[in-house]
Amino acid sequence: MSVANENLVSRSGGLGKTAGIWHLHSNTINLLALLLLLLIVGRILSPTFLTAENLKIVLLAIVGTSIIAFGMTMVVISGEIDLSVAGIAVLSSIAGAMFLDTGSAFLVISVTLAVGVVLGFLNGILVVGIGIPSLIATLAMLGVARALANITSSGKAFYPDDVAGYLWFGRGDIFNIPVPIVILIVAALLSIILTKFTVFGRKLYATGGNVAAARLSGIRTWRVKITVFTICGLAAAMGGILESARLSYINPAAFPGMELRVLAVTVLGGAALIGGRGTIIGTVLASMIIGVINSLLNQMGISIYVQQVVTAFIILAVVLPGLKNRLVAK
Amino acid sequence: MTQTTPLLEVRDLSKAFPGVQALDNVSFDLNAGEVHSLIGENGAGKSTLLSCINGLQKPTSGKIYIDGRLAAFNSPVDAIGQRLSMVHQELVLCPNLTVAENIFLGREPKGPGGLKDTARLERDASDLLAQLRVSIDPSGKLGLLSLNEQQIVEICRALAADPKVIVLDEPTASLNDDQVEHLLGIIRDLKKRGLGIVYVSHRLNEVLDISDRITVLRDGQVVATERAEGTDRGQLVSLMVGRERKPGENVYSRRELGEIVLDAQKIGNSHFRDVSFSLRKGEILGIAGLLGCQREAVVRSLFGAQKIDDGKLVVHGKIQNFRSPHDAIDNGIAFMAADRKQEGLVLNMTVADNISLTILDRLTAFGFLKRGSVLEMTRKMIDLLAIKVSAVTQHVSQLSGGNQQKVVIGKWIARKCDIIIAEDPTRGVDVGAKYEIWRAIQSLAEEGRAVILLTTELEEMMTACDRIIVMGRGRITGTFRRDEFSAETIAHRFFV
Repeated sequence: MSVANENLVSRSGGLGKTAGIWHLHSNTINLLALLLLLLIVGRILSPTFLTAENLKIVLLAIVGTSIIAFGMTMVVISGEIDLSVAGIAVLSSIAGAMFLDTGSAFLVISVTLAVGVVLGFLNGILVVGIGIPSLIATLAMLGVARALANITSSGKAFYPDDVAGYLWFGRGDIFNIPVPIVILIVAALLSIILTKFTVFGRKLYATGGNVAAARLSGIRTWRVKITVFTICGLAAAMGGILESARLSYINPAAFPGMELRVLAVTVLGGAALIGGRGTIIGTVLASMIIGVINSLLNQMGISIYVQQVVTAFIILAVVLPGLKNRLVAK
Repeated sequence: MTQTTPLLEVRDLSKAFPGVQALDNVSFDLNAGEVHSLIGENGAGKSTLLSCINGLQKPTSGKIYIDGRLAAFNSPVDAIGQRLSMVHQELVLCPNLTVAENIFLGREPKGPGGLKDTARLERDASDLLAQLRVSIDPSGKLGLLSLNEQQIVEICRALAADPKVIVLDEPTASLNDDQVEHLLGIIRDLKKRGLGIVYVSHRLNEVLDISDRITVLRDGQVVATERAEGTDRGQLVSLMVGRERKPGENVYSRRELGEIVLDAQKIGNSHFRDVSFSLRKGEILGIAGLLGCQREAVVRSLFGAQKIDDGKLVVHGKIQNFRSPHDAIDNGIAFMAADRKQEGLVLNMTVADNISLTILDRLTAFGFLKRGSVLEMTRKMIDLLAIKVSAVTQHVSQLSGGNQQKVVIGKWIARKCDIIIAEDPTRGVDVGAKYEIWRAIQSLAEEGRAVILLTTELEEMMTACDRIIVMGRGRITGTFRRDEFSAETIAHRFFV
């Protein structure tokens, strides 16, 4: 037995004694600490940073990425990857926008979500049914979906200003809490329940942890994978709706590079691209960390490009020690 | 042997991990032209000692001398530089490269202008292969070789660094009997050339056969260093476990056999054909054969992990053609895979997660996992099989090989399947756990379940089974009832 391997496991946090429903991985604790640190730094730099108003702005900025990242986290736990999320978000939003003329928000939203589900399902079929590696299959899906969005809309954007029900998803309030934030919380709770407390969740982690063992234990791993791709498609469509409704602007060229931002958040949250590891809580925290950093840098008047560099370095700084533990035996 | 400086000397080596003293003042030495074996149960400290010798881990205290000089290795590369090579238990080669490229990986001879000199590479490789008297094409892809041949390539790779000391960690774990014989021949050759060899194995017969001296480790301490001449298996076992115990014996019990639960009628696919046999309630049926006899393919096809193209498979009186393991499990078939790390367990999940994996759908209320039931069931299984764990939520990767195997068995007992396929259930498992595993399999049969058993060691199979069928090249070549068992006649059918 390889000693390096034993170290890997003992360092990954789940030592057993404390493990329970509320057990947090050491990675999660690190993220939580980093988030608190950033909030304190923010408070020191600016007295208005910790106000409800500012935190609302921070949260609103991360809603789309976060919700898509929940889907991505599940795909990554299953041992796959989905690079098509931005394409799905765009194409499903455009498909929904085709029905703006009817004035029915219900119809627009339903079509958008349905298209997201179908495209996600299609990803699943390409990967498990045909056996195309997910990196390639979803990269193709990204290209095709973006192209189709441009073709069907003739490259023109839509403005859902007249469909109040649609705009509500971006600008409405429920008990004084913005609708996108309510949806973010609901989506996070549902994702946590699904991954942590259901039989499906166990099957998901088993499939990503060791697909051969899972299959030989009678788990239909193909079903698990199709399901997570479908959920990810749904999440992408939902993220697309929230972002488009907030801006009141449905654009066939929207969300450039969104897949990489989502993936960055997922990885920062502790999901391992080899599968079997990752938590929704981690993804939530990672998303908030990125949001807080960007907000801080914004307030300091630092340009968006420098922000991207800083964000990248913070991801490396957080992810690297973990990687080092895995690679170097003590 | 004359009193010279030993090639390798380990003096008072200790290694502590948090909460565990893995090695406690271990001393060990190795002379030129000597095979010195290291044995002990899983967890006795063999792996830790090897990692310290080879620079993968740093000892807490103690010294290592090579050729009388103090050696401080910071990595396996340092060790190789000081002419100590290690051949790992699990093959660490690249199947996509050629044999020659693998042998000289990281040490490729450079041609003019730093280009790779394939001709010289292959010439040097054939020299090394010729020294071991094997005919392997150095320009062939490694992945196309048999496991045995790959093992030999791995040894060549160790030899390419021109070592004085070679450490062989369980080199025969996945080889069959005549491949083992071949490998032992190679080791004798190396010994004649004056190399010192540290040999680690669970197979006591070959240890006794090949060694000059044998050191027994138990709980991180050296219990004894004996000359191989004059010791026997029983003595070694009692040194290893600390008391006399005969593994695998006395576990067999005669049982009443019931009705036929599984009947294969001339089944076949691209790997095997015309395979017919039946299995009765309460019976333990062994399938014996050498590597490549395709018995693994046969049992996988019974479990729906491979397709059956020809013939009929009747399970519980119904003709079946399983499309997936899921279907087979629904029909009461269990499969304990030999390769527990690859196929049996999800290593980064807990003991409870792994044991409940086969019965997730029964432990649910409205899709939610009933955590209480999972834990309760797991505790029962841990008691039943005497699995040593610190908590039900311990990760299975932290368990010893024997306990991991018990988890694999436990997850299928939990499922209450009535046909159980067990593939090499004691692979890489120490003597004590072996006994408990055989005991568990016997009691499954006593409860009226039918068992199909595949093992690498024929001896084990003869101890455990009611009946053995022998396969060779994808076909059944013989059937033996228990009263007809004889290693010689059974092995004879391997080559038909």
